[in-house]
Parts: sequence; C-alpha cells; structure tokens
Amino acid sequence: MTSIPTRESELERTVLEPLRRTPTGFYLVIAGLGLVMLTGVAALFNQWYLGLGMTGLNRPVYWGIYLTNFVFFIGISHAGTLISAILRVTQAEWRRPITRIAEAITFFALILGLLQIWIDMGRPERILFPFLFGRFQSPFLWDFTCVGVYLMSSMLYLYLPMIPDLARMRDRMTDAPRWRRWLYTLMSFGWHGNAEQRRRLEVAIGIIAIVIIPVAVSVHTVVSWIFGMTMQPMWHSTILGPYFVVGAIFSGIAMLFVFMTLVRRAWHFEKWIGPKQYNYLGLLLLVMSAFWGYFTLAEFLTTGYATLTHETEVLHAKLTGEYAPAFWIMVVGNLVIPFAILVRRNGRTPVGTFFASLSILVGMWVERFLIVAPSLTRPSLGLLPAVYTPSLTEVAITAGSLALFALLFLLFFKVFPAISVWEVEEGEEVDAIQPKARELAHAAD
Amino acid sequence: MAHWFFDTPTIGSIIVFAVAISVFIAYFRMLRWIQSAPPDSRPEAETPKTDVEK
Repeated sequence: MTSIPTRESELERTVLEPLRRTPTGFYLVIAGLGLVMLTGVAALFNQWYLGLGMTGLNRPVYWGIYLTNFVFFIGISHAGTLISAILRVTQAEWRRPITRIAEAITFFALILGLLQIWIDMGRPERILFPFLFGRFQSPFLWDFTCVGVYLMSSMLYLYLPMIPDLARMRDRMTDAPRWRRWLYTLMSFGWHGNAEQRRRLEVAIGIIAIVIIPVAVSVHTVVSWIFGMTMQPMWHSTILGPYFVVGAIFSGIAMLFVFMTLVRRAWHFEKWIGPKQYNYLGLLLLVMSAFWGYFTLAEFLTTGYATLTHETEVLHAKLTGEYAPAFWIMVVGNLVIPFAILVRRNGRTPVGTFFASLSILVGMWVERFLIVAPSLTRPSLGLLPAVYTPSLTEVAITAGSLALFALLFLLFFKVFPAISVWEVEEGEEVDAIQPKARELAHAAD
Repeated sequence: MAHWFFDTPTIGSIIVFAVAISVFIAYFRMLRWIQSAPPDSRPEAETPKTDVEK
C-alpha cells in the first residue's frame, strides 16, 4: 500500500476496468433508472404543488409508505456498519473485498432515508423545522441528531479506506478526463503513503469502526422510539428498539448480497468475491432470519395474550383481517424462503443468496409497512377507524426513490473502485505470510 | 421572561447544532492529522510490517 507498484496487478486491472470502459448496457441501465427516478420527481413536484393532502395522508393515518420507506432505508444502512465495522474490529479477513460495497450502501441508504422524511413533510422548506423548532423532549429531534451523526460518520468511514486507492488512481489514471483527475487529486488528500501516514490512517479507521457501531445501534433504536413513545396500539412496546435493530441488520445484509452479486457478475469480480464470502455471510443472514423470527414471535405472542382491546384489534387486522396477505408475505419472505435456501451449504451460493435476499428485502419492506400503517387505522383517541391505500403519487415517489438509490450506487462505482484494492492486497500478503509464520512458531516450540 | 430565551425549541436547536458541529470538527481534524504525517526518509519505514510479521 505504501508505494504504488510499477505494474498493474490482475486485481487492479479488473477493478479499474469499469472505470476506464463504459459498455452500452451501462447507459441503458442508467437511462431506465433515470426514467423511473424522473417519474418520482414529477410526482413529488405535483405533491408540493397540490399539497400533501392529495396523497390522502391525514388523521388518523398521517404516516404511510414514506415512513415505511424511511424505516426501510435506515435499516438498509446497517449493511456497512455490520459488515465493515464489526468484521474489521474482529479482523475477519474475508471481509476485505466487500467492505466498500457495504459502506457505499450505508451512505446512499441514509441519504434516501432522510429524503423520505423531507418528502413526508409536505413542503420543501420544512426541512429546516427540526433545526428551528425541534423540542428536545421529542424523539424526532433525537432521531435527527443521531441520523446526522451517523451520516457524517458513514461518509468518513466510506472515505478513509478509499484514500490510498484514490492516490493510486491519481497516479495511474493519467488518461482519465480532466475533472476526474482533479477529483482524484483533491480526494487523495495529499496521500504519499509513508509508514507514519499509513499508521495514522489505520488508527483513524479503527477509531471510526468502533465509534460507528454504537451510533448505528442508537440510530435504529431512536427510529423505533418515534413509534414506541406514542400510545398507538402495538407501537408502545419496549421490544421495538432491539426488534428494529435486528431487522435493520437483517435487511442490510440482504441488500449487500443483492448489490455484491450484481457487481460481481457485471464487472467480473468472481476471483475476489467468492464462496468464502457467500458461505460466511449467508450463515450470518440465516442467523439474523432466526433472530427476526424470534422477535416477531415475542411481539405477537405477548400482544395476543394480553388481549387489550385496541391492541387486539390491530393484531387481528394483521393476522386475519385486511393486512393478513401482507403479514403472510412477510413471514414467507423473511423466514420460510431464506431458511429453505440458506440452511443447506449448496444454497449459500451467489444465485441462492441473491434470491433469498430479494425475498428478505420484500419481506422487510412489508414488515415496516405493517408496523406503520395498521396501528394508525385503529386510532385509540376517539377517532373513527380508517382504511389506508397508498396513492399513485406515493407509489411513484417510492419507485423513484429506489431507482435513485440504485443510480447513486452505480454512478459512484463508475468513478471510484468497487473493491478496496490496497486492503485486498494487504490481505493477500497476510495469506502468503501466515503459513511461514505458523512453521516458525512450530519450530520455536 | 427566561422562557423566551430558553424554551424547548431553542434548547433543541442548540443540541442539534452543537452535536453536528462538534462531530464535524472532530472528523475534519482527524483527516488533517492523517494528511500532516511527516515524510519519513528512512527506507525501512516505507515497508511497514504486517500483523503477522510483527
């Protein structure tokens, strides 16, 4: 890492290839995603022009799929924290090729999460309200503070391990367009890569990796408290905090699987993102699925046994009422399909984990929806029960948000390498030295 | 009279700004600390030992 090798390695060549060459398919994907995103933007302008009332969001159902998307995206953002920070702290070597993808997912998911709140506020200028009128007793203010800190931490955590690679690109990609060379020079932050600078970088990455874990846990706990601090049926529960955190890590790993599999296939990273990553991460996904099942059972069983009038109404709406199809899609998506695929070793392959993860992402989005909407349709403060059906505007904005998320990810990795080259090289050095070190240790014994 | 100056929204705003600015400054200083590492002329310093070598 310290001095840049004179000749490009196979890894470097493969990783830099998507940055140097742009196939037609890339433009087609960008155009398709851009079209969906623009539809969402048009729907958003229409909503601003006509007012939030045109979506039908009003008392008692004042939160709909925008809040569902917010909780979903904030959950996805836990991918980077878990995979990168926890595995880095525990020195799991197999993490090296996938950390950057995980960190980028975190950063872009957070931006999309915050965007949902802005959309849900109804007017663009209201984004200033938490700064101007936020009351410190309100979980909204706690949330705004935690998410803000998490966003800054994630940005830095994505950026720090990129510095040596950026310096390499500054020196290597001399034929790149001028704006890109300027960007690499600016972002490499005067990196010369001597021993002291490398030591300082590793200390800084270590500090952020440790700091970001409690920050991430606090973020999703506080997101749950937005619901948990109110007296709505099935929201006012102490289990909501850990339930949200478990769901966040679960969906974060699933999103990582989807993106890393697509990137691996499109950019031919098969040599570096291989069976080890799919097996270990697949096992982690299976464990998180079991955790999620345990929390769901605990939540529903205790609510069912207490038979409190308002809570039971919501529970019945979920289990056997109008939300029952969604409930069973959630159970099948989060438990049945992942278990059926991932429990066997030959299921933890790129194809197996990809489909299990897609199923989990659908299941987790539905889970977020089932937390937000049903409780509001059965108000406990004398308002009449209501029905919530997402409007076309909300659906268009949701589709636009998902397209924007994918678009940001793709464009980012068109400019920056998707695999941390210096970290993978360092891992290869460690792998090469380890057998010799073991031999020496045996000889000394 | 005091509540005009120290009402809950004011305290809330102070909290948001104080946390955001202090985190931003801390992270920026961390970056400057990495950038300001003195160049080392010793040749052995250019090949730091990996964890295994240590």
